[in-house]
Amino acid sequence: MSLGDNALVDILLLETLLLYGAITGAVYALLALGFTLIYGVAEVVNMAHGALFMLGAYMFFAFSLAPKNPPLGIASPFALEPGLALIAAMIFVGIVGSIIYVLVINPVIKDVLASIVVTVALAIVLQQAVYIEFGGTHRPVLPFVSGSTIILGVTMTYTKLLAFGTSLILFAIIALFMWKAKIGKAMRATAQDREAAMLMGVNTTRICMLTMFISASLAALAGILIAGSTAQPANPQMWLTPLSMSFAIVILGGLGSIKGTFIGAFVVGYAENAVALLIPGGSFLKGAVALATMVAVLLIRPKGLFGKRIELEE
Amino acid sequence: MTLLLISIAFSGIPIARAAVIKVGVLGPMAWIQGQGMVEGAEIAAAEINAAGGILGNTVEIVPADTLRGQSDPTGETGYAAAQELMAAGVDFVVGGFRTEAVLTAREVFMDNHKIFFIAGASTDELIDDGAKDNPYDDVREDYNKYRFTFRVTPINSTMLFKSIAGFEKYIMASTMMPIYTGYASPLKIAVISEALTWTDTMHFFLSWEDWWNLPFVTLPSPPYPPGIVYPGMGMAAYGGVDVAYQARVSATATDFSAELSAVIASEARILIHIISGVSGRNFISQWKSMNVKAVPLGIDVLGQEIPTHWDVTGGDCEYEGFLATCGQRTPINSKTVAFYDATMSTYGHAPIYTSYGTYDAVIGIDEAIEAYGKWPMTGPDGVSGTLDDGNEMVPLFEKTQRTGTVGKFKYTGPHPMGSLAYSGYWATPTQKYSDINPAMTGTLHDVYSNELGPEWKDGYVRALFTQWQAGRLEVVYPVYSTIPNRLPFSKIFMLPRLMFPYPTDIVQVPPNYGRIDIYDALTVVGTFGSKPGDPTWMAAADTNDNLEIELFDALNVRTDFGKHIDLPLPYCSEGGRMHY
Repeated sequence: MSLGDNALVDILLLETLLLYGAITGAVYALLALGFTLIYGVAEVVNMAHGALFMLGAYMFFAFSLAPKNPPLGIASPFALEPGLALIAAMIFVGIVGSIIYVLVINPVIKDVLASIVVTVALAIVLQQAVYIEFGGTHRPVLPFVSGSTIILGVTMTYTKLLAFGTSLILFAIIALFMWKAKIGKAMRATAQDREAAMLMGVNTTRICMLTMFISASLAALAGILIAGSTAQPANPQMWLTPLSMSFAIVILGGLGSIKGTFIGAFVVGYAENAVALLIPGGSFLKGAVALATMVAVLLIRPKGLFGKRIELEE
Repeated sequence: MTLLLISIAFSGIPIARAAVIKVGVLGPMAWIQGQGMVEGAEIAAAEINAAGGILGNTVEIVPADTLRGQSDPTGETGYAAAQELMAAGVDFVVGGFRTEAVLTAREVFMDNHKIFFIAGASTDELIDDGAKDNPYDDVREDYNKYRFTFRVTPINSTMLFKSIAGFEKYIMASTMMPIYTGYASPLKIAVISEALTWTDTMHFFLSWEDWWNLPFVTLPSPPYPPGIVYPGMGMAAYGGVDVAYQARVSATATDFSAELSAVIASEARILIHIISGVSGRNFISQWKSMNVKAVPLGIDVLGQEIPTHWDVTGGDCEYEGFLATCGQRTPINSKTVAFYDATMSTYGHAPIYTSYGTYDAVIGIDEAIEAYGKWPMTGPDGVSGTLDDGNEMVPLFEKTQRTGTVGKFKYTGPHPMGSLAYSGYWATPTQKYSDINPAMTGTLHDVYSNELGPEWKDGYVRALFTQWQAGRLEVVYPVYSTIPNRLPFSKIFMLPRLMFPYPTDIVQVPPNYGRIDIYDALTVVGTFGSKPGDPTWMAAADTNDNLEIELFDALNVRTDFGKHIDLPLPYCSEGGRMHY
């Protein structure tokens, strides 16, 4: 007997698809949220987003590491509790993002191509910096929770459920922040028309820097939660896949659109799991399917599913 | 006079080099494979130099990185690294990982007649692909050009594949089938491999049910010992194998939740995983956290990192099994332990297969030059530094017959004597190298490895099957030197407690499967007082998982003595089936 030979197995597979598609979608949404945010406000295609994701995972490792840890050959002076380590890592990466914005991105912000080139270079610099500091040895990113439960007959780890819940909550918070908070309104004004916003007294450089801080912090959070939920050890090359996935999702959903990112992430999440579960031996096509879906949507609708700017999303 | 001196200096007349023998190390230096190569070579060089060098000449190790800032070694980076070594004036080269990089580097070394000991890449084609007119020339097809290429580790891909099949069939018939199918129905397995070239053939066969179930070679005459299956046997006679799920995953995949969910749905009991990259870490941790009731037995290259794999996965890799060159301080011979200890004390971690390979290669260079009796090489023209220097050394290396760190070592062949050229290719054991290339002289230069069953009689290097048990990477296969004499370092294979919650049934002995009997009691007695790392330690006898075989383990067996377990165990209700 093989998979698909009886109805019970088929139902289980469909339930698996239903649940894991949603989980993967939510996790991807979290991954791409920061990427779309900085584009939506500052029109920066931040190719260093994946590197900030990687930096988040490393900094969480560094902040939470026990002071004496001979097996891993490295000791930390911080040894924070996981929750505090997470916050510390997010703030650290947020500050790094802000500094990057001020020193490197802002001077070339009017040239989209230049900002892309600059951020690609930054990603490689960050990769090498991490390699110099931590070496090539993989560093564990410990999950906040352990164990698993069974939902609708499908085994689901608590780390996945945590990532799922965090993603949904964060999306709600960011959406509320953008629509209700004063700074959020300033961000939308900057996104709508930078010069007009300046004339209205908005310090757009500071707003963009703050947006970059939030975007980088979200990348770090995604790095910590995703690495923890997939038991992926931190390593210098771990930034490429999240970058390409973020790119595919925001192009699919529409560059700069938070709603589009959310829906695009779920489209990709379900497409990937469908390939893995329904095509025998087809798991290796998961990444290609995400990109193919993006291409197909672009052919039909070049602006993406919701090719609108943040300011129009009410 | 001045003009004469200048003209001599620039005339190209080779001048004897300084008293240093340079050994180049070719590999990805940011990866453990490359680091391992350098570490093994450095330890060998230090030992040789401490003993006075090779005929008084100091050995110097010269690394060259095949990554060169790229994410993976390529043909270009391999070529550039080889050029770098040639510019550095190396006398020999060891290492080589990722076929693409090794192929181009090899061309550079062959053009310069530099003897190149491959210690890393397993691809058959680097020595011989077993067929004529393949895309790449090799030692057999163009011996004159490629005779400077040798492989010291690992055994080639064909033998790796046959070794994994040999172990899986053995463990199926001796442990899994009596417990889970009673030989009455097919044993369900799942196969998940990364989608890279080196896994193509392996995945094709491992996910093909007929290949598992039908015999594919002529076998030695029966009778076979009970529960023992030889690699070529078909499993149909034992109830068969059902490949219930198979997937090929991206080499960069990080999330295996969907695939592992499908494995659970398939009710597979063995999960054959073939992974060479960092994703092996995610994979095994997700396997653990999702409570998959299929024991992972395959290839996980980074799983060999001792103790890093255990530390990084937080112990999630317990019960994971895979092919390896050696276990944790496994006393294959005295050299194994000495080299293991030297690596641990120098670098703080254990050697991996490339370390064993480069160490043995450099020591082999020392022995060959000592036998050659002079340095530098001169070749037939009597002048050092010319292309024909390596010619005289090649036959010396071809005659290698030594004991290395992981077993007896020699190269495949010999030719033209016509005896079985055993490295895995030949369907007909009488075929000779000379049948394919009559012009070839010398041996084939690949690692000679002739055993893949549960016995290790001849002692030549072979693939071992290892399993993480109680924080240590232990060898669980081969089992015997000759049946029924157990190899002193071979440990009892363990099923995850989740799949087999009966720790007091320590030994599965046919036909008494599922009984707590004298064999279990004797195992506790024989290992009593031992702790992990002790020669008599046996994790399977540690019934209470407290890392010591002590009184409570004996009492546990005493309490259960005489009980039996209702077999076969059904999926998802394995517990509560033991009674008198």
